[in-house]
Amino acid sequence: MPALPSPSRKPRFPYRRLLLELVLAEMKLRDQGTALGFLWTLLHPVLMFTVLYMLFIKWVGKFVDQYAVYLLVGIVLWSFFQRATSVAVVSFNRQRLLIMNYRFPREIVVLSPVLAVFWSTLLEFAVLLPCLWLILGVAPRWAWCFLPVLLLVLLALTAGFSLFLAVLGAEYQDMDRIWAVLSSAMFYLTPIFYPMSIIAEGRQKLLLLSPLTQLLIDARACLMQGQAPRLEVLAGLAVLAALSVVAGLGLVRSYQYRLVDRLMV
Amino acid sequence: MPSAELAIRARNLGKSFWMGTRGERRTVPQMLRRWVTGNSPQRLHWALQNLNFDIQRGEILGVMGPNGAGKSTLLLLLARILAPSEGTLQVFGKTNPFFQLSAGLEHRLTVLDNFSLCSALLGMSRKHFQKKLSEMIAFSGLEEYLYAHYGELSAGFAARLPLATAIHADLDIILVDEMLAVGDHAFQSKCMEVFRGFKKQGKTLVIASHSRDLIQSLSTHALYLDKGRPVYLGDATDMPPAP
Repeated sequence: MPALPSPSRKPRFPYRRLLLELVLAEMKLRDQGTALGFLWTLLHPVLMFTVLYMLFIKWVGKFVDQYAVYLLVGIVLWSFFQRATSVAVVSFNRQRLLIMNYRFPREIVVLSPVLAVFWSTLLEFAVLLPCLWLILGVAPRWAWCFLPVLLLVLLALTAGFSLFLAVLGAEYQDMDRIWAVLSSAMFYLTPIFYPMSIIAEGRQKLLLLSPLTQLLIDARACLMQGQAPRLEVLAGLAVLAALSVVAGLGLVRSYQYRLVDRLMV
Repeated sequence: MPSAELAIRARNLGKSFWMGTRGERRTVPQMLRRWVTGNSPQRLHWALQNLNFDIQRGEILGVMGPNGAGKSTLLLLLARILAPSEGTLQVFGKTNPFFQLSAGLEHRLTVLDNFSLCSALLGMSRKHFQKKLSEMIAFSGLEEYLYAHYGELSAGFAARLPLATAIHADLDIILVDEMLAVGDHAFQSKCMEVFRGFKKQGKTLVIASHSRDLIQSLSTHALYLDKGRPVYLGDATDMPPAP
């Protein structure tokens, strides 16, 4: 009796290359056609920093040493989260034709713009760290070595969250607007331009529930005071990030066929 | 009993979609309204129903039918981009649809960048891509446009890039949907030659077309669909003029 062929199996494609290709395409397209290129990427955090610094230095500056550094770190980290999630929420709709014409793991469509934004954030840090040292007088410390770990945790948290947002974005056509409103609220509910000490104690506890707040606290302690991140918090955030990525990937994989149905009609 | 050379098996295959009836957008407020009122502005549309066939390796299936007959839906199911709503479909081997491939490519990147992107989308490793790149470029005839923006190419030239890449992507089952219509006569002839070569290599080809001549000259079997249902399934040469 002839051997039966194996049932429909998933083709084993080298998808790592596809992820890299799409990240490179995102980066090329973003900087293409603009004389300023990467400087455009820097313009947004610099403008936000200038406006918030001028508005709040007199008031918040009383409560925070080195308010410029405090604000700059907050803005760069928040900008990454905000920009990455904003592109992720529309990613399935934006790459509709790609999804309907090629078979590949759908999470790549979400993760590639998130990684492209992460690369921009790394470049921003490459500019920010010398500025902290040379302009704002914050000397490099050994604790700065923990910064890549904190950034990786932030990347994983954002990627996991983005996968959920992308599915919601494909399911509901107004999700990008809803997320724009919610992320604006999150900006004010995260200590980006104000310190926790000016918030009432009961509300501080609420704000501390946000993983972003915890990451900001540790990133600032690391860059400004030269302190290593709190290990128990870092471990907790790393576990949360890993869980969110695994759950997000599971959701996208289980949604992959319904996604095409949604994009077709 | 399926043989070891079986490439595709469909049993009672069907695919349905929920289609809007009131032009409503899928938004959160609409979803909440539907929950409250229990009214759904959608109706179930069967794009394909009750399809049964086996295709062996090296066979060519030609799919015909008027617009909306379900030809593209069948190819998307075979490519495993869509999942069946009913029945079973088994596809043995690496496949990818061979149509509208240019649709997902980046018009603002160069032709060369798009060769690389397209090959990655089709699952080619970098090593395989680099090995095959010169062959792909020669096949496409786009040697003079490698650094032009992809969006600057005419529709016919633009279609050559994904077609040339897919031909070199080492797929087991090739799915073609009216893509040859955009190429000129010389390019169409080149593609037909390659498709006939696939047959000799034991690759399976499923081609959807409105051209009876094309289907009968190329295919071993023909399937005629109408409103999502099979009207004729048998030898391509025996297909009646208007099933």
